[in-house]
Amino acid sequence: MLLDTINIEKVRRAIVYFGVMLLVLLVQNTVLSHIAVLGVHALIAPIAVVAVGFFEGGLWGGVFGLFLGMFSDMNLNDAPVLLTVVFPIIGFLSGSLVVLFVNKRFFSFFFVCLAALVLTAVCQMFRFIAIANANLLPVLATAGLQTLWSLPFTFAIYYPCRRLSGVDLSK
Amino acid sequence: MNKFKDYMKKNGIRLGIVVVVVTLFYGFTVNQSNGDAGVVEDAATAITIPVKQGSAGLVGWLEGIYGYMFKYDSLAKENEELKIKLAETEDRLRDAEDAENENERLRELLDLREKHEDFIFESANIIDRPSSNWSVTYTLSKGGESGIEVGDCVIDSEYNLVGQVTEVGTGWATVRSVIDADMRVGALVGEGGNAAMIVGDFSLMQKGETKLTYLTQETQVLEEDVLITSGKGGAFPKGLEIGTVSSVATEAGGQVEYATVTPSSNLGALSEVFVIKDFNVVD
Repeated sequence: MLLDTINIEKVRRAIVYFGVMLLVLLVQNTVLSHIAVLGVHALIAPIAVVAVGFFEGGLWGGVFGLFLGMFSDMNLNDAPVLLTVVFPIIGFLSGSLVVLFVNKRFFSFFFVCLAALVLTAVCQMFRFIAIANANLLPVLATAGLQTLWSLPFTFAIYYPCRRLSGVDLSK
Repeated sequence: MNKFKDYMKKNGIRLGIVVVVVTLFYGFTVNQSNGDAGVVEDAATAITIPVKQGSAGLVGWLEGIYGYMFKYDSLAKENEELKIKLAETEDRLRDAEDAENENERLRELLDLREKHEDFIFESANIIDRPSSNWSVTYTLSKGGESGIEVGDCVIDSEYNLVGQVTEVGTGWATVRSVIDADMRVGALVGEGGNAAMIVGDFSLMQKGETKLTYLTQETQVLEEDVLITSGKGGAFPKGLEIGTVSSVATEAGGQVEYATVTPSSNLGALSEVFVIKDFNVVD
């Protein structure tokens, strides 16, 4: 009786995306933390949030972004709750964009990811410019390099997430 | 003369045989007294050596075949036992190396305790270095259950400042590094011990350095000056080594002087640190 009230398909998808979240955190913490190009590490979490929003809709993207943002904040030790706030917005907006403006092809995904990475970097650098009064050039350089190094991971995340969601673009 | 010819015709062969036998006997026995081989023996041996070598090789090959056919199982077993013994020996060697490293660290800690009896230490390992581009922090292996609190000072085994605890959980704690852009530490500069302030700077943080600022008019800062904590404010004990002045410069306006400081602690290579849980505050 109780089982009838549970949407098994949704539970299955939730478990799958929980696994995706763990994988993203694992790669971010164990692999990318050891790879720095010009002293800057890539940040792949926003790309994963965009992917979930893209293929599962804004609600799923927002919830996925909320949890991934929380774990990312815990791990990165930057400004408190910054990513917990930014990632759900990215997830929800990317889902809404697919509904309203863009298709689910790779190039659309790529440009939405670019926008998400720029938004994340701008939010991360905001306190250094507005509050700490840091030198603008190194802050901008770090934000730019972080965005640039993260972009290649759109390839690595787009295709597995599309397959997981079962989206068939040939129709 | 004819008698000699007749004698030789009649007994020549017998005489020849006798001469050959005597010669052979002489050849075998001569030089035996000093251990050298005789000429004949030497020649005979030289002829037989290739045969002996050939037969020895053949015997060895046949023994190998025999061993492969009939001793393979025992050899494989012996090989397996040797592998196990080797693995055990390597394991013991690793344990010994770990024990040696731990011994070294404990010696340093003991030395540190003797120098500062008022300090209450808690040793912890650095278990994570987050990959953020916007801060430099470390995650420690111990937290609230070990008495670590937010604001505790963290040093290395050589009494150099590493950072300050900013967050504490059960079994973990986060340490903000001394080079982090948000770090603030009161410092004493130069021989006069003039007060100044370490204030983290974003661009210097990326180079693994930090900034000394709020220098008073009478404070003279020179390269290679060593900075120590002032102890004012009670967050850090007085006298911890922060770093060395690597360069002195003037802010963009040309009015304010500041110094770039290289931390004394080798932050990139740290694996174990010591949290100062309590100390005597000097007013």
